[in-house]
Amino acid sequence: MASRGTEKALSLLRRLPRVELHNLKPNPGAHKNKTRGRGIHGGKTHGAGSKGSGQRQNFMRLGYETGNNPFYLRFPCQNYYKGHHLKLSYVPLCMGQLQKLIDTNRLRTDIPIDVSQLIYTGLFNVKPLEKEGGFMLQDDGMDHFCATLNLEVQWASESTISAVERNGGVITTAYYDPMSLEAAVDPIRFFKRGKAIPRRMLPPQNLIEYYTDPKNRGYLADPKLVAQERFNLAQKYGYQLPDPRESPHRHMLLEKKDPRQIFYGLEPGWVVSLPDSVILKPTDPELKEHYLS
Amino acid sequence: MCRQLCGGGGGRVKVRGSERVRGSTDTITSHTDCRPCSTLPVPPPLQDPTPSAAQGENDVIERKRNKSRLTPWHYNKEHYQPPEPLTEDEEVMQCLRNQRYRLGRYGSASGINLTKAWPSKEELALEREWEKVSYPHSIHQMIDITKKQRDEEHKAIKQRQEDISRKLLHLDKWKNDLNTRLAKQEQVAREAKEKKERLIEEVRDILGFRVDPRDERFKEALELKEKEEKKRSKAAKKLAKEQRMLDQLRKEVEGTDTGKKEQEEEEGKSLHGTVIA
Repeated sequence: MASRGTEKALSLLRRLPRVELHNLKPNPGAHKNKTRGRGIHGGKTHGAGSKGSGQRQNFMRLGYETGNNPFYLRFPCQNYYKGHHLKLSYVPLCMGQLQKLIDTNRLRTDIPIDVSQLIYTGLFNVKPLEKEGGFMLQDDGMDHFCATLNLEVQWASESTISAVERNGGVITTAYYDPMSLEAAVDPIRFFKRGKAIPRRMLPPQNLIEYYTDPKNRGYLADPKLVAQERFNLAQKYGYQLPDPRESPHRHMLLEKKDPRQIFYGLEPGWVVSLPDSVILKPTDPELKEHYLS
Repeated sequence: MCRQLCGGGGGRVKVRGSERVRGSTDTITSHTDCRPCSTLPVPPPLQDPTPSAAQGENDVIERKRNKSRLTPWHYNKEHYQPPEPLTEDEEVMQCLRNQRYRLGRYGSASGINLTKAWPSKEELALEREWEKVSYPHSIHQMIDITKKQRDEEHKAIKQRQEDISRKLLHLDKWKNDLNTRLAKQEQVAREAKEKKERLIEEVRDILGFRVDPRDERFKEALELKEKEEKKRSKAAKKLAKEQRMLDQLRKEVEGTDTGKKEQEEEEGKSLHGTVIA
């Protein structure tokens, strides 16, 4: 028979949440804050050392190495990082991860999947303010990918496109400018701002080539060329190309966003009022014209 | 419950295990005599503040129920209640962004005009101008620019390739030219060096010991040598000239008569008084 202490401990283990870093705490009294020395043995230099900038409270600047050439000044140019502040990075999303999400019912395949849906799974974090452009589909696990879905990502390679289309799905690569991406990533926070839904902006000059290329299934590419490329890819990878128009979910699979649209079912210019559960549309012709351009 | 002094406003005061009620036997006692309680602001009622008898009673009950001691603003925030509608002055002074936040959070209950959600005429004009500057080109224009860039790149590459192939045709010839030039330079250098060595040796022969080329004796010896060489060369030239003349005469003799040739030969022999053995 276990002791009372052990039993108590086990009962705690059973009912409390899992021990993780954020619910651990040192024993009371274990951590002592460094306090300024005040007298007898905290006296004389009072925790400030002897002479030097430290004791004189005139601290050396960060990175200073007491006179020698400091590390942050040694190297005149780091071409590796040249122009990094102008380039976008993308959050990787493997095909294997996607399959797992679908199998564990964390992602629905009966509605089109875009940035908002992927963020809503709660497993990904896209930070537009840190120059992240969205999701990039990677081919890790594409061999056992077997889901039919309407997918919209920001970057996809040829093999990933083939994996999606082989299973009868539809994939599009679309560009979201930082403001639109912020809205797409957290729609509720955006609607609480009380502003009209903005228009999604066009890609910049360096990305226009990618999004107008039918090989990448760009959202600005000619649909006829895209169809041609679908056929070519099927021949290249050696699979029978299923026609999404003949599937029972054709309406969902063929649903595409307008280049200026951020959310499915909502147009630019509309105001979503969450507390009143109401959508407000503009009537002013000037505003209408602006949001339709 | 008012913990500070009177213990009133509902609830009981526990004093060391035993329960004792201060004041009257009623659990709900009025505690407005208590200074801390009376200084607290009264939070607004949850319902619409229209005056009616039942409403007034409800107000009192609600006020007594609210034990949070929160200020009205904090109370509303905690219960996601919309704040007081803005006065005219506040509407003017508060920025549009904050008013839109109120709209977004509380909807029509915020009391703000819904039209503020959309951009005003000035805002629209600014937005258009910003777009014009940030996105000056249309899609087709951007595609054209990219295409031009790619074409230029390919053209440059092609040009370079043609240049290289043209130059490759001459490559062997250039290689040979270079090699011959280098060989010639080497040879010249080698010859000069050998000549120098030879001179030193000759001077050594003359003087009997090795002299440094920069020495004066070397130069003197060289001069002597040169003089001797000149003499020798002159003598050699003279000899050569005589030989040539002899050859010429011989030819003439052979051309006219065979007998005369022998005579001329003998003459040639005795001309200089030398005996040709």
